[in-house]
Amino acid sequence: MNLRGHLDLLLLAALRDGGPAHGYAIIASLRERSLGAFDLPEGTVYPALQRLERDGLVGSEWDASAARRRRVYWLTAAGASVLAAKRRDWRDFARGMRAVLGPGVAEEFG
Amino acid sequence: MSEIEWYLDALFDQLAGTGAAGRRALIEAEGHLRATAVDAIARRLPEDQAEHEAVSRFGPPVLVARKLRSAQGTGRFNRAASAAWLLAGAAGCGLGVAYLVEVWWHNWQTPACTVALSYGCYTTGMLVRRGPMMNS
Repeated sequence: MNLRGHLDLLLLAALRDGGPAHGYAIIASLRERSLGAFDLPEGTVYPALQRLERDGLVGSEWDASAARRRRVYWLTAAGASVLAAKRRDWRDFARGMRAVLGPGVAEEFG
Repeated sequence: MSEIEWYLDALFDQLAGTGAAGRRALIEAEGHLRATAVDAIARRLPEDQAEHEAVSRFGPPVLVARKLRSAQGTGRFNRAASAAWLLAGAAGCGLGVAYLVEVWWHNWQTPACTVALSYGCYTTGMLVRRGPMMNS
């Protein structure tokens, strides 16, 4: 599934629901919660996280407690408000699509 | 060399010039690849297959590096710098050609060149005239 344009929303949502996590855990969480539908090149998640950090939507720091150096990411207050706005946009978009495609589309496609 | 080591070397090459962001991406990539391989080995996959799976899922080094450059904004800057160098090179070539034409034109005005040109035209004309006669 092409996640172009939706990756930021998914990453912010994963950090909100799962709390602070390193990249590997975020990707595993996305894969599990999407039931394997979001099977993206995992290496592209790290640049996306760096971009979100540059924009102030997530924070990060090295986790020295782990055996191997890992960077832990968390959602910032700015990230939480952007996530809320994106969720509203997505809900409106989904409502519009459902209205056009028909009321049974959700049941038909799960 | 293991497939993960090979991949990290390739990624390192692709990340040239990205500085601290690239170094950080390389550390994160190594941690991610090794964790993925460990998970795959826990699923009883042989080590070489586990590393292959980790590398395949991570994506091509070119793609990862491109995304990183894009995230850092360095991609746009590099393209602008390349375009600027290209324009500067084209302008330099244009000036060079203009200078050569100027020198050529200046030298062309000298009596020696005029005599040489006249002699060249005369010789060519004679050869052209003689051509049909020699063939007949």
